Amino acid sequence: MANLTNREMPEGFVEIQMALLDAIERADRTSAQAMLRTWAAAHGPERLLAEVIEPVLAWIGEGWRRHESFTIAQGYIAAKVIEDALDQIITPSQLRSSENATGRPAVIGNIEGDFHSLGRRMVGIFLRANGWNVHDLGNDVPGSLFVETALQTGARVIGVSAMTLTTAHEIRKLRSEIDNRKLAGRLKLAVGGAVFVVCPDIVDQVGGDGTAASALHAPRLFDVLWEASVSAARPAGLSAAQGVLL
Amino acid sequence: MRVVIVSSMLHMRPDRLAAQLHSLVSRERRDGRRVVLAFGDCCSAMSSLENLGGVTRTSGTNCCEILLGRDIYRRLSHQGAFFICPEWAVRWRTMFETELGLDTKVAKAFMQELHRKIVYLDTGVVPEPTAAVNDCADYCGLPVERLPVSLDTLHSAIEDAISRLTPAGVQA
Repeated sequence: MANLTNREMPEGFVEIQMALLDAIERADRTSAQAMLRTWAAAHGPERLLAEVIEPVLAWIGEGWRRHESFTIAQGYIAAKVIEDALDQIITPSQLRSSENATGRPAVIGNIEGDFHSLGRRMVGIFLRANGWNVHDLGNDVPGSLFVETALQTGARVIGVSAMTLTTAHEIRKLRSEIDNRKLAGRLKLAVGGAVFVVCPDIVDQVGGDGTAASALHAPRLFDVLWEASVSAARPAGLSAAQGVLL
Repeated sequence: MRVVIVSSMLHMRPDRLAAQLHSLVSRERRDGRRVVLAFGDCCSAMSSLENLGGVTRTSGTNCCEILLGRDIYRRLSHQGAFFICPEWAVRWRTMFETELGLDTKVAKAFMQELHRKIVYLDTGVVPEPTAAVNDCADYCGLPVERLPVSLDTLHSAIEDAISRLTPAGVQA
């Protein structure tokens, strides 16, 4: 298993952050949950995301970006630690009051024919941690359902996942659905999955508006695409961002 | 027809799988032979390989879909199936623990979140490694189903791929 802690720590990393990183490295969800609960009781759950979880995830995310070796288990545990905190420690009102909470709706799902749900689930968790109101449509989702749900929920960003090139090409149908309904300015398409990490060129081929290096970087991508959508809706001069790679 | 078998463990290292397939395909084409890749969409190099003249690939995203056909694969996937094939079954512990970094506690949570059952695809070609299949299911905390699978669908997929073969040197 990759050693997450055997590196120079960022300046200012404190004991709780080191301990959380260590628990994730050991894939020890129970210890992570217990230490976060104790810390939240002493310092307040409102501070948990900003002062403990986010710095640790940022550190892990940088490692992902640098293509360091992380196991599936470590990625899974990192996501579950956040999910545990969101479900059991931080209340919805505390989450809404945190400084990065947006309450913006987002629609995510695996494209038609794709059943590799781990990455999508992790994206959903990291979006929630950043205050997004996530509508997760699950696996094998037809393009029309993505668009209908986005329109019903007020989402401006659709996040679609595909693991392989074959299923990634199915995203073209979703792109066509958006374009044919003349929603290209309004609805932005974030694409992700293993194939996009290996071959970023495929983002353009399938009509994606942007992709992210990992699930951890998805919230930033969604922020950028949301702003692009809002800009596109403005009367003049502000163009939408295209081909975002975060 | 010559059959060349590539280690299935290379699926865990897609870049190495791509390199080996490139090497094999290059050699075969250099010798004037055409190539059917009996593979799913197993690495990012597949599309460039199958677009070479005299090279084609079986249709399907992975070997389970190629064995079962799209409809059955899709129906079982919707039921939460985690498919295991004979060769994979005997290596399950290496896959989970060494490759994915899981232990039994994390594996149970991980697998039960993503899947509802393990489906062993019994092609009848080799005896089922029953103990390994049961151990894997216990490790994941999931029920196991045995599904007898005819080789007819795989045969059709290979025949279809052969029918799409272009002459060597002609782009697909």
